[in-house]
Amino acid sequence: MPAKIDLSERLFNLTCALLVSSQGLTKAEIFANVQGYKERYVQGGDNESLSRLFERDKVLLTNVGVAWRSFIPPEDMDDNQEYRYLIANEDFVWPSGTSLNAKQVALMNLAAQVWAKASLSKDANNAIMRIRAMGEHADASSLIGIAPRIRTHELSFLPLSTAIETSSRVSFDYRKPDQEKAEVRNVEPWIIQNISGQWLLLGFDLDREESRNFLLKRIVSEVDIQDFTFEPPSKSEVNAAISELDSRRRSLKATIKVPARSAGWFHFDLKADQELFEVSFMDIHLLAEELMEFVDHIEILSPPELAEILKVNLEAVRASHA
Amino acid sequence: MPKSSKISGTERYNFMLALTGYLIQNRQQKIADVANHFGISEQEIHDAVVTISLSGVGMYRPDELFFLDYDLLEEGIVDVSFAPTLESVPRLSTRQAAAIASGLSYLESVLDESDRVEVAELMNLLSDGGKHTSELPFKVHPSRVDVEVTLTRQAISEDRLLSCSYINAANEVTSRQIEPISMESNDSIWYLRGYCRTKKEVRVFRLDRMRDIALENEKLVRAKYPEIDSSGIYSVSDSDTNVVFDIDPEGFGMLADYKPEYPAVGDKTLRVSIPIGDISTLGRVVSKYSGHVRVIEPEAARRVVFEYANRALGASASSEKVE
Repeated sequence: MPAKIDLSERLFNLTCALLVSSQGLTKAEIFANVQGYKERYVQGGDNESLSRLFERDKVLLTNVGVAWRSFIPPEDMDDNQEYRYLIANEDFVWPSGTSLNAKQVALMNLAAQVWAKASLSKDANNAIMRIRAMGEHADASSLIGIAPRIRTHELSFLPLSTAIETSSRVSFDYRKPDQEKAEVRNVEPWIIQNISGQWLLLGFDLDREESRNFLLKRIVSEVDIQDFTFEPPSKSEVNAAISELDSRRRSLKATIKVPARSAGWFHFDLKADQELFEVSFMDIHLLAEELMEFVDHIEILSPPELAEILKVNLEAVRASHA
Repeated sequence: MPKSSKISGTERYNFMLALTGYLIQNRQQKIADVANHFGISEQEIHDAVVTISLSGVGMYRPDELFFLDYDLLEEGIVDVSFAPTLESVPRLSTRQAAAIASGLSYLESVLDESDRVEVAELMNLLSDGGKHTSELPFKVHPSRVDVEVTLTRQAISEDRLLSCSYINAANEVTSRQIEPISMESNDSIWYLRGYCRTKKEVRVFRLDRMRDIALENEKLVRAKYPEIDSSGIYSVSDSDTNVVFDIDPEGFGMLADYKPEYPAVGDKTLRVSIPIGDISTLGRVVSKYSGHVRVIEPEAARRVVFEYANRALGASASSEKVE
């Protein structure tokens, strides 16, 4: 028997206790009975440190998706008004009848590997443990030879995703490429999306009073998570904002000319004798960045701003290497 | 395959929840099989099972919630029985579900038709499998399926020799014959790792630089698939030139490509030395960052970047006439 109960064991005991108690447990009952607490419990004492420990443990349970409930039983409303805590079985387990086949398990294993080098590797691993626990073995025969990897080198990724989950307002410094100085943006964060390899935060900009998209790589400060929560947006609000970005992306177009069999011709998958093509874009600076890799063999026919951005960028490169 | 690193903290807690759910459904398992199934060492499975069996909830005596058959455990068999209230496997947290769901959409463009059907079903399950109250906090939009990806995928799964035109970083177009090994990716860019018969060595090819892909009828015979090298796309060799760069935060993406282990944090410009195989390709690599990545030395490398920008400025000057 382990001499000392560690964090994982205390959380496990707490989870079991909250799951099996049909009426819920008060804090005092938890402290007096649950391993990891009871060793330090002083009956009739103030047990302040245990209370703090319990508060922290509740957050940890929430973080791994174990949903606990707290309530005051109606019959206690008038008396001591003590909260009781429990974990409802239907919140805890998969809906009944859920099953996975071997191929699905393999697909989810590979989906978890996508994150192996990124901020979500822990969450992805924890998910895989729970998926394996459903018992089915993985059949990866159709997935041999795929090693996918997505990266989140933007430091704002984790704090922003936490803020989205807790519906907390955030602020950060944001720098657009055509601005000399960064600007503070105050945002209610809704969702982080990856579009063509770029991470974007969609949220409600409190100063501009409308939903806006922010490229994570243009966030140049730490993300300040405020102690101010907001009503999360409805699914339809989020979807409307996503499709707005999508139609904007479709409406912005550049016309470009490249010599056949040059790098740009390969990159944009042009036909054998095709030199002229149109490309739609979400952000003119992102397109410029994409084009910089073969800028020595392209002509921008429109829009003129794009040609101008490329010129400014190239002059910056030339000047810094003169 | 059991891992060597030990799990602890909330990860171990998560694992014990999962293991409990699994053992409820699967009585009398060989400890080696359980270890294999979860990819965890036998010792850790053993310890976790003992911990679980000793977990009591006070008002029960410990052995009334979980009963572990210690005699069987000595023989390497795990058999735990449970109080009826703990019935099944814990569902995923919102974040866990979002991580898996977005990983699946990222993969979609390289999957075959039947796997895509499974993915659609899983997406459905995952959006309910977490909490149902809120939207998943992040998502990845699947990229478009292109013919290079589809054919490369097919070449790998059917063990067939692939031929194509390839434009290298120095803008030279050549025909290649490649024995495909694996498809790897960094964000939106996909690569083929394969043995190049033309260059007679294993090389990494960017799919967006490949054209005219054809699969030859020759079926490749391979004893086994080589372990996929997880160190990444970019690898260092002895003949590389050490190039010193100044990299602004806007250029940290380059560090992720070339030095993924480098702690690129903060808002300061970093001075970093990176071994570069062919400095004649630096023009395109560095220009992408529009002055936020600067070559400091050697002089020859600075010159390459200067020439690239200078030549391109000449080219875009001619485009002004077109307007």
